[in-house]
Amino acid sequence: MKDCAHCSTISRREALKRAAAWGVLAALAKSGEARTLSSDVTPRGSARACIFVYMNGAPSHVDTFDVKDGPWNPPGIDIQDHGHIALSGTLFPKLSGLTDDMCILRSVKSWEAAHERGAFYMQTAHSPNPAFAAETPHVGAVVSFEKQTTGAMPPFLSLNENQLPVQGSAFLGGRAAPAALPVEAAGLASVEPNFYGAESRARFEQRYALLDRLDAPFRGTTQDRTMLNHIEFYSMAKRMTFDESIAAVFRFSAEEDERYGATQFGRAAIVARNAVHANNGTIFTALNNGYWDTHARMWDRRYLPHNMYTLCSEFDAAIGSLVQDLKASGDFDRTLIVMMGEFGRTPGPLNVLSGRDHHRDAMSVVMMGGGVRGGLVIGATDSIGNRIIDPGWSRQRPIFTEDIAATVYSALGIDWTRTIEHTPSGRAFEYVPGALQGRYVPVDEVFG
Amino acid sequence: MWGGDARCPVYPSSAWSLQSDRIALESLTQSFSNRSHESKALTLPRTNFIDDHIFGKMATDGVEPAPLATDAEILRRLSLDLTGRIPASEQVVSFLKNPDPDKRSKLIESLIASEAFVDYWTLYFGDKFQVTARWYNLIGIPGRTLFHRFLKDFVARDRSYRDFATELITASGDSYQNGALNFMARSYNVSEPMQDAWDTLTDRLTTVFLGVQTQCVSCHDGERHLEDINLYLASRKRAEFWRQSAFLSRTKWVQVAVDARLFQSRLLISDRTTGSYTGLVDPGNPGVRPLRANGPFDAQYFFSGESPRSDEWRSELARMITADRQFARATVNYIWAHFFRNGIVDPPDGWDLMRIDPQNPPPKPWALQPTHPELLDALADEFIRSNYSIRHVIRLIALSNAYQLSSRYPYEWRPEYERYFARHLPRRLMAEEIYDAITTATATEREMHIEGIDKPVYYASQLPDPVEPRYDSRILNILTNFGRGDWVQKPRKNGSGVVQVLLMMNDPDLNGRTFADRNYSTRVSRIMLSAPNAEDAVQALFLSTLGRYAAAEELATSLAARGSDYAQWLSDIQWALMNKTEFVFNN
Repeated sequence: MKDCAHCSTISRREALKRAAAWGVLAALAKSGEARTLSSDVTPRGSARACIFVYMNGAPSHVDTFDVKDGPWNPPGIDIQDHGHIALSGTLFPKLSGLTDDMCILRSVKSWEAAHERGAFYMQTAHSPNPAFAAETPHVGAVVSFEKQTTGAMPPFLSLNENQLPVQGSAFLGGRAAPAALPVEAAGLASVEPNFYGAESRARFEQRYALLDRLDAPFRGTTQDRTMLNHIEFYSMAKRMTFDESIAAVFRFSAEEDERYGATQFGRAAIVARNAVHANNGTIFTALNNGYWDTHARMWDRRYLPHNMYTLCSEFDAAIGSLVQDLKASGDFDRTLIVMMGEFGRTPGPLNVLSGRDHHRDAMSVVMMGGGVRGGLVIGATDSIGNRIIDPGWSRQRPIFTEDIAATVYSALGIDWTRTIEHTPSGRAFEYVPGALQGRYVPVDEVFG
Repeated sequence: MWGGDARCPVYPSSAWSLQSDRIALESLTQSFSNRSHESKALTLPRTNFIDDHIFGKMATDGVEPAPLATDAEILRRLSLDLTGRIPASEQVVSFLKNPDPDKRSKLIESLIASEAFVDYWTLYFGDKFQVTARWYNLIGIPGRTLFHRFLKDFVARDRSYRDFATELITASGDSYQNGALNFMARSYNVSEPMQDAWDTLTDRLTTVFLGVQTQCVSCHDGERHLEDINLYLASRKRAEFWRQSAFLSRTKWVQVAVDARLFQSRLLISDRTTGSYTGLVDPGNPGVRPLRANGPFDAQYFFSGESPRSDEWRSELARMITADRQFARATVNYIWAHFFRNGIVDPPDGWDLMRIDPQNPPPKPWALQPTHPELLDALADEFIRSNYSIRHVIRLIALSNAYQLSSRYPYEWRPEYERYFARHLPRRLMAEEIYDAITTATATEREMHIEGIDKPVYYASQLPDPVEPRYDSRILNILTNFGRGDWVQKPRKNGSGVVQVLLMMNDPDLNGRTFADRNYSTRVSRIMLSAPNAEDAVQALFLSTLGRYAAAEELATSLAARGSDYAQWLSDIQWALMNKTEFVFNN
């Protein structure tokens, strides 16, 4: 059963009752008779953590990681070849120096052309079906559910959400839910309450003990799954409060802030770095990066707040520094970093508004660290980035979101073919739809 | 159970036994069938036809109901579910003391007649129409203010929902002068082709008013996509959706700049008597949906095939939607879901019209969608009979004993029982309700000045728009963290998370409200002034914060925690009570 050190009234009886109340799944999983199916696969397990950078709005692949030369490009774009990997030196100064660690998948195709749907797909590897959405957890939630860590940090961090919709943990329960903790210059205020000055910690312990005694009878007897889900978070929150190691994850210096670009996204990247380095429970960090939806004036520096120059500069400073720091601290090899948008953008000449629109047929995904082989390109698109001309991997077909998710699961040592047979509505939930039948697989080529 | 004999004289703790956990695990793998004994549902008092259906089915299938909620439980729950507020301690005391056997129905009447009811249900409907100033510079403060007034007027006067829906669908003129128009504006996306706006608005209309999300077939036929999802939509064609969308194709939308520098615009909407839906779009801007066949397509009601009787297609659209029985069914079902957490058809926006008729059940393995199809029809009939009065439905539900069951379940609960509504299913309170509960409990209501509203407001449930209160980031932060959403991209989320618990425990602003203050305005201060006896002080805190008296054990625990600093001790108690699980739920 879960560690509930603070609460002496939890007994096996109550824990079982709780399990029975909030889900057949959890009870069965705990009792070891998990009603799941899986085929005989060996996950790689090369990564201990994953930082998934959601490039919301869908970045233009032909201007970023599948950069194409053409008369439509603005002057000074400075496309440089680094082995197989070409990048704009103007847009990505830091990442240009890190191409030896990058693996770019260029033969990726998207199922969706609408943001909300594409974002849902990206986060869950499932089609955004309104009938099932309530029972479709985020990939990060599945990871948290599988890994069952014992650290004090939440296993699934969601940073810089900033009004972007993030799918939750559905029926996998409270602990697997994304913790959207704020990133602020002053640190994480909610874990460092200090309105009693030096007395704060003692007061907190005292109050919390009182809360426990007053609420324990209710917590031990309610059978409602919604309330039981809520109750999960008390021990997590208690553990985080006044935990210096957690507070430290959310702190950064002015120098670091500057180096990471002095943006909200940059600060979130620092926290992601710290969370990985602390290795204190966080396995999956969703780093949300907006607003790549450059339908208009994408190369107009005066078009604010977002144009390609500002977007790429923010991205490069944050992610470039993140990779550099993870390498320096020795965490890079065990940290899988994925960078992905919902779909690609229309290639070739710009549209009438001097931008690019949605494009499903080709997009790029970048992977680094966590066992990924660097300096590698998988697949290729035609001269303008319109269609995939070479899938570049064993399956000889475009790579889809499902394959990316399978790759992430495999890297983290999770069996991607697993199916949970009984969601609360009685349906089956496949980690990766069709994976059991081998329809989607990890792109093993990224690991070299 | 609240636990133990001291708190619950009806169901003593000896009802629990080790037997129960063995049964729990075994029963998870067995199919449910239990007709061997008589359910207590047979003997529960019945207020109206809702109870007949709910208790009747429980009795037939041998499902045990929860006991009725206690007076304290129902007072707090009714206050929240009807007005979004927790009761004041004076109200709790007098209600509990009141010997009148009709006090619950009188309470319901007084809550429905209150200002807070109007505020709360304005917010409830606001959530459906999502008219926010933030919508792509097209609505702005003027548009949203006018819409909010229009909405509030509908709720305040209990206008016919049918008339209201008709006005929303047929509104024309200037969106800065006609509030209702801003609902149309909310579906308009400036950079997309007109057909996308029509299609989006069509989906919105079928979802909000008929409970059917047609967005799927706005992009493709149901065939080969929806067979596992929705039987009804699986057999429908995209062309049929276009014909539905065609009702909007005679509408002229003109965007007028208000202030070029701010890129703010407003909409002028009027109708032609000719025209139809064409699939032709500018190749340079085809929009978000797959290319359409050229058409043209004439208007035809998706759900019945009826053609418009006149040239005024938007009027005809409004007539057909509001005359459709599904309009009544979907609306009463949405309201049911608010009070019971689950709809009779759940989710309430996921109706499968081929699975709702018990006389015409769907093929296996599909099941009938509504848990109580006859009840749903009875409620729909009542709604229609009352000339589409929302209050009438609310009243019927609130008065029923089915609604007034406790969330405590003295037997072994099984997930299948949810479909019987065998107990009250608590919902985590909305962000606005949580903030308002905190301010009420601590007597720290703060003024909020909202552009477009003359007087300052004090409760989050009075706010017209998730961008408010724009100038108070602390309040905005609390509301955002409790999942309020933004009515644009981020949906409202009423789930739980570690961030919320951390906030409730450690946020300096929330914590500060439990302190005694120099002006003697906070709850703790007022109690110190008026209740010198320690026991009374504890009870006063329980009453203000949780809407009930402390049980004997809780009183003892609270008194035992007293140190040398009286004010600090009271503040600790209120902090603990606000952080109790029950505080953020409507149990």
